[in-house]
Amino acid sequence: MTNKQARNMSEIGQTCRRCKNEEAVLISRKEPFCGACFVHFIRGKQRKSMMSDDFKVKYGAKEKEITKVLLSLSCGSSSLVLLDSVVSMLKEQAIQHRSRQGFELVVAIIDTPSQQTLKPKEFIQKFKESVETSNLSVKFKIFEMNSMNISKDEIQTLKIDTAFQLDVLPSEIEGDSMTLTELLDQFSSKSTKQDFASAITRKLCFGMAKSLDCGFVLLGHSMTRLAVEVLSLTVRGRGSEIGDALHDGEVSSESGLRVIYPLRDVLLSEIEQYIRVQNLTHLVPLESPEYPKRLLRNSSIDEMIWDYFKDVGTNYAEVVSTVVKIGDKLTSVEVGNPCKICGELVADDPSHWLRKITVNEPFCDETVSVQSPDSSRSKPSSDEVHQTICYACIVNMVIEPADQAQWPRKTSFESDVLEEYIIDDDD
Amino acid sequence: MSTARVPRAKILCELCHDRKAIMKRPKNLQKICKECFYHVFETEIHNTIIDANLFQRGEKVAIGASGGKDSTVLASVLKTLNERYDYGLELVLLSIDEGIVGYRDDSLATVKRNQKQYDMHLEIVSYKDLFKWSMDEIVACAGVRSSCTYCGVMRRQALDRGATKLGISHVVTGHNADDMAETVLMNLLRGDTGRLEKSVNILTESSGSPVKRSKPFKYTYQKEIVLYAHYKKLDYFSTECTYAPEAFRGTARVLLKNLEAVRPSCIIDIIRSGEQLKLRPKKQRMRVSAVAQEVEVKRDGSVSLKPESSNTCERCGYLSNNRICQACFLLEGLEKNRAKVLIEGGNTAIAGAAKITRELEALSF
Ligand code: SF4
Ligand SMILES: [Zn+2]
Ligand SMILES: [Zn+2]
Ligand SMILES: [Zn+2]
Ligand SMILES: [Zn+2]
Repeated sequence: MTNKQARNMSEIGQTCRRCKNEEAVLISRKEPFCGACFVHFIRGKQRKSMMSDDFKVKYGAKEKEITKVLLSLSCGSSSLVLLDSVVSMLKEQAIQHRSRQGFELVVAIIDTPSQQTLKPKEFIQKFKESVETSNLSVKFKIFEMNSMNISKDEIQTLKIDTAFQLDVLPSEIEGDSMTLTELLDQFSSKSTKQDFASAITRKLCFGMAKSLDCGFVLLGHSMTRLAVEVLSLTVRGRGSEIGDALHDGEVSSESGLRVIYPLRDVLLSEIEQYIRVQNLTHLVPLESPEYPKRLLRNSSIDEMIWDYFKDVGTNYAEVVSTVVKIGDKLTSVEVGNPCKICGELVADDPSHWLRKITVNEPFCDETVSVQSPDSSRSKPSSDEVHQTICYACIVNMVIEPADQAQWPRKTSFESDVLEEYIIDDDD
Repeated sequence: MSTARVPRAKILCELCHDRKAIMKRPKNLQKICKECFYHVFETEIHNTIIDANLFQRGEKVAIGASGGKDSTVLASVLKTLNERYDYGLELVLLSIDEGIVGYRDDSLATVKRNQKQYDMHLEIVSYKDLFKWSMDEIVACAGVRSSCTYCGVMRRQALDRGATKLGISHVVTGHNADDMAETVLMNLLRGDTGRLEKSVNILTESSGSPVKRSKPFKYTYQKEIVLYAHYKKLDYFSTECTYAPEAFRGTARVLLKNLEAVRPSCIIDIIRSGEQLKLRPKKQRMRVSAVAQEVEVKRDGSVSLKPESSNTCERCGYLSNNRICQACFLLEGLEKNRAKVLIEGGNTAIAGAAKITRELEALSF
């Protein structure tokens, strides 16, 4: 649609409303833009979210005082636009302040097996060919997900019982270690796999920031992606995590780290327009509008929500922005115990909640006629100590055919462990 | 319900390991027998009632009965639980006659049979008696597009008045888990901060109103309600209202159905999320104006809006923050419109449908 739109525009020959000079090549938010003004418009949104002193050039600052910023690059379209925009910001600073820059940029790529068409190495190389970075302090780091082996003694067996409670047993793995992919492959549901994969990626990203000494993390999520996140977290029973997942600012589970979504105001369609205007399409193939519809049965929750937003049609921008706005107004759990699987804080007892609304006992004549209202509910036996598990992880476990899984003892990645797996791409 | 059946015979129930499994439970796909299904279905509703402390001993409770599957199953289950666990409730059926020929007259016949089957008192409140307008007359005058707006406002008032007349201060309705999950999604999609935290409340009470509403089926799957009605051979009416417009279903409902198909637990998962959605405290959040907005009319016509203070309508005496209540406001517009139609002989009504909704939204009730 955007392609066609762009063509229509130049055919019509409207003038860009910003510079009142160039011919418009696209329409965004009902406004005709020329390429340069559009790129400026999108970059303006990124600059606005990084306006604080942390990112400004500080004369006479010691090396230690310079802000270190990690940009998480998924090699998808949004994080590419973010990288291009942030690099342009550094260039501007260097021009204005005689080769000084306000912050050091570390670009971190988590290389997952199921990634985009280009491998991270190629991607970085092609990016450097398109965008000059050699005079800037920009480092590229790659973490290959499957290079890290989690050893047997770091793994335990998690088992869920019929009362939705979690027991932890010694590991039962065959070899002496497991990769992250092998961990994820234990789960048959596509949505469950994605749920755990996103938890792991988030943890890895924070872990990398810490081990690379970065206090800030930039995530490339577009407004559309954040809206999908709000609904997806809701649908996965993770409503209490929305606030934390959407705010700019400190992550409650990772003290000291501050997360920013500089493209939170940019629609996915605008990301794609930016990539076309900047001639970056050789780095990320854009989805064609005629992309065949996914089969419902094979879709994950996230995919169905993406499709939902695509189908909303003309109100799309409005609905997306409404959802992000309300998501940003939500709070997250601040005190609680971390879930043994995903590490999110749990404030109540979700297994108790589930037991109340999902009875797992058979019918037998005596129980029904004799029991009084109160004793009919199975109470957790108080002498048994169960491990903390969040609601969403209970559901993930319960819907799997197997009632147990192998999982690392630690739910976050220690920076010194990660360090040895991070590859420098600075040749 | 072909998907809910287990095709091959001789699969044992996963709960009792004794009887033959006859169904896959929609909520978690457990293969269970009929007896165990009744047991879990009823016990879950009982647990919900006890946990929310919904009823008091000796309380008189009106069941909002439409003759449809939700309210028919609600009447049947509440009767069963009231006897089994000795809640000590006096249950009454309260029906609304909207005056829709070919729909409500038939469904009311069902409710009348239910009255005999369940041996409960039945009270019917009709729009025509209460407001001097039937829905058929309103649609003839105002057009079909705004039918549910009128109907919802009037139903709420009619239920309140019917209950008050019977000396009852508690009405239970058949809203199920699917309805709750849909409300959560809708409130997110509409960015409705005024309603978001209350999306999944089991009990709605307002300081001014003498009648509270509750939803014992909050955690009960629509598909299981249908199965329960089917196996128990309950007598219900399944035709839909002739005025129910397709668009009213909303896109959220379609999304929810698709999600449920790949992950049946998602209805409960969304309710769980709904219970956890809390707005960050904001110093100058405009609480009052946020709450007093448009009238949300659900497909069954119930309205979730509650007046904030206890002023009354100067025309009918019903609770209202404005000079006149919503129903009187709507009816006043209708009277004018009818006069106009009579004079001009044309139908200006349909164009006015959107306008009336907007005017309602602007009024702070
Ligand atoms: S669908 Fe329901 S609310 Fe709408 S007119 Fe019919 S009965 Fe009334
Ligand atoms: Zn321009
Ligand atoms: Zn968890
Ligand atoms: Zn059984
Ligand atoms: Zn009135």
